[in-house]
Amino acid sequence: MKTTTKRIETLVRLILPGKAVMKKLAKTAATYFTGFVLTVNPMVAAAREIPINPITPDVQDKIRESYQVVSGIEEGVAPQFEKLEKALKENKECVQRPSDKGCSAIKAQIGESAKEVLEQVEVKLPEIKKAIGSTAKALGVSIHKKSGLKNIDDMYQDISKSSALPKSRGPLSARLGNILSIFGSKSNTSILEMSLQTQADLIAATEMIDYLDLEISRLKTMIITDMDMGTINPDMAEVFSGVAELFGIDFDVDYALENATLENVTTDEWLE
Amino acid sequence: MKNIALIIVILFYMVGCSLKAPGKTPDVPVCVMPAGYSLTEAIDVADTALTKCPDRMEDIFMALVDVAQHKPDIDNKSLFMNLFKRHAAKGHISERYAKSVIKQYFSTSYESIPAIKVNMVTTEMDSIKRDLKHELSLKKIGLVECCNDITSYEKAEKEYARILNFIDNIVLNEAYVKNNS
Repeated sequence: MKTTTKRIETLVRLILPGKAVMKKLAKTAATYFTGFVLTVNPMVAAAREIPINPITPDVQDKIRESYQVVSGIEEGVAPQFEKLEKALKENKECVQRPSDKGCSAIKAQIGESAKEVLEQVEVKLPEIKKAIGSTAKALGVSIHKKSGLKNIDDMYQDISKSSALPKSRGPLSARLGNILSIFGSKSNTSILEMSLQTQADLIAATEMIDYLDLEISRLKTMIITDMDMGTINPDMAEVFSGVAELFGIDFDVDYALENATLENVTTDEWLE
Repeated sequence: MKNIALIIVILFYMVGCSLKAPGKTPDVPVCVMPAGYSLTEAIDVADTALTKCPDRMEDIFMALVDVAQHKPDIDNKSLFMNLFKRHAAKGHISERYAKSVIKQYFSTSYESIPAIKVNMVTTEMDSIKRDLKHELSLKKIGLVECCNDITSYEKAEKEYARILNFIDNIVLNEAYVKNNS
């Protein structure tokens, strides 16, 4: 209603230019005319209720592209994480026997698996950075353009008619998949709300990717240097946690850190 | 001398004329505020009060809230609403204002989402969030303390979280677009 009134007001102002009196007249005329149009023509009234949809065909293509890249990486990195987690669990037994030969092999395995995870991610980083960055940019601009001149109370009124988004929405690929599948289904989810949430996820992902980009080579060097220690320090744990979160991999970071702490304090058998 | 005495007499006379004789003060309506422990009885008092002093609607409403808090019940919501609907229909109180008060205290949806454009949300975010939080506290008074309607209050809490997330996501995107354009 407000938008329609505004448009008609602008139109009337174009016909009756200048002076404040004319402007006031234009405003009054617009208000009455809008009321008339909305009452007489239900099509116009219905038209204003069309919910905002920022997922244009172009944005949809970008989301699909990101979805494919992210799911590909998720599939590739998951087995490496499994190996790392398995080695960390086995290493738990070694806390009491640090000089055991088998334990030395496990420690080396931890370092090797950690390095493999980082290398795999490092190789894929430019591709994922490009895909996620361009999707976030396209979706962000589309949301901005389509909603910039709307009132938030009207927008929220539309959103509140739909069912709320679930709290847990899975890994990034699943989130991107969800927004793609919304078009083919009879979902009661608001496209605008889902677009805004997906955009928030993409922005968080770009921040994580930037962080990984900065930290990954430093951590790789650290792992190579400390390979024989077979531990995960808090810095490494943070990166692995970020990677796991980004790709929806179930990785027990607290457990890894707990192990690292134990390793650090238990250095001498005589002190046990 | 005679002249002076005459002038004084005339002056006294004039002053005397200019002073008004003490008359009756205009009638001030006596507004008895609802009180006690029974909301039904308090509503009857509020009925009279709203008829006599519609401009004191807010005080009357708060007095009723005090009464309802003694015995919270889900039926209290309709007692409040019917009272205000009746008086709005009679034109004693503004329908818009009465609706707004009822919505703030008894509805799971929010009155405090302002009609501002998306590009203004970033600068207004703090005050929007403050108003929403305040409205949630009013809903606690209305829904929980007056009506014992925990289910509706929980719904209002979820709605509150949803609106905050919506606003946060708008602000996040506006900043992202600005920094990446």
